[in-house]
Amino acid sequence: MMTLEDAIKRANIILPEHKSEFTSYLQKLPQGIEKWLYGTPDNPNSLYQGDILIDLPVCFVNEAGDVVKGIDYVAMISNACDMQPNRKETVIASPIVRFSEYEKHLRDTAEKGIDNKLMDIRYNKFFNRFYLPSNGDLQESFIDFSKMVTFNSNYANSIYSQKRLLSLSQHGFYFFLIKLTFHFARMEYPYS
Amino acid sequence: MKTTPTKTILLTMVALPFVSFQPVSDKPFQSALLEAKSDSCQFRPNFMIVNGNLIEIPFSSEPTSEIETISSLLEIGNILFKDARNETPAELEAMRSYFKSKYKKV
Repeated sequence: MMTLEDAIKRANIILPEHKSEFTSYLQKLPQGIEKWLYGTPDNPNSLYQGDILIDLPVCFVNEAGDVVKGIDYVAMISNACDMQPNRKETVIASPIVRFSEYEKHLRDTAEKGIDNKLMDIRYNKFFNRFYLPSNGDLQESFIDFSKMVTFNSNYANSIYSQKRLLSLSQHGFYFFLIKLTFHFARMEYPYS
Repeated sequence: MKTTPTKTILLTMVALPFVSFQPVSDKPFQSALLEAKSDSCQFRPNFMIVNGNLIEIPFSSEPTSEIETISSLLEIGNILFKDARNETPAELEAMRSYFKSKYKKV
């Protein structure tokens, strides 16, 4: 059976000089993730996959077919190349849910087992949720991959310098890609 | 759900647009070639012009295909998230009502 170390060794997308450290980070998950998930973008003048932007308009079509709208933090989902100016008409993002708001909502609606639900998010136990530890102005949160919205690329590129709160580190980026790929391309079996 | 080659290809195609090549470039890079334009896009050209001479720069890791990339990421994900699960109906409803309370009809 393949070990995590073997799988990381086989992944050419992970640079050789990062493999050992990345393996050790993943083996300790979720402990320590707050220390390596976030980083500084290589180029402050570019929008990156996984960037967290604050207070953007987000809308969905609800179960009644109505458009509902809110203002939310979002994480950029599109490939970094696709987000370069004049590359694509639109870019994709997912809303971010803050633990404090989600927990309050669960308590208001008399949900049971709230602590276990929040712990499952921290352990990345949901296929469609990516855990975000708190960092500076970002409260403990998660990205909901099951909701995605499009922004005009020119708009995204015109506002990100004022709206970007955090970027992922190189290790954080690898982890984000693993979770995103797993969300989209996982195989589920009847017993799962 | 059966794992078939067709299904594998379809799933790979879904994931492809999201997997960028960021790790290929881990260092700031200067080049006189047109490819330098893609620096912010994280592609690293493996040629550059220095004093008018074309120099080949070896990659720090072998270039990899998109399918290999997704396959290897899935291998890691299968280990890391082997106990992952879907939301239960109650959890789905909790998320639906959360967004319903936060988002308003246009």
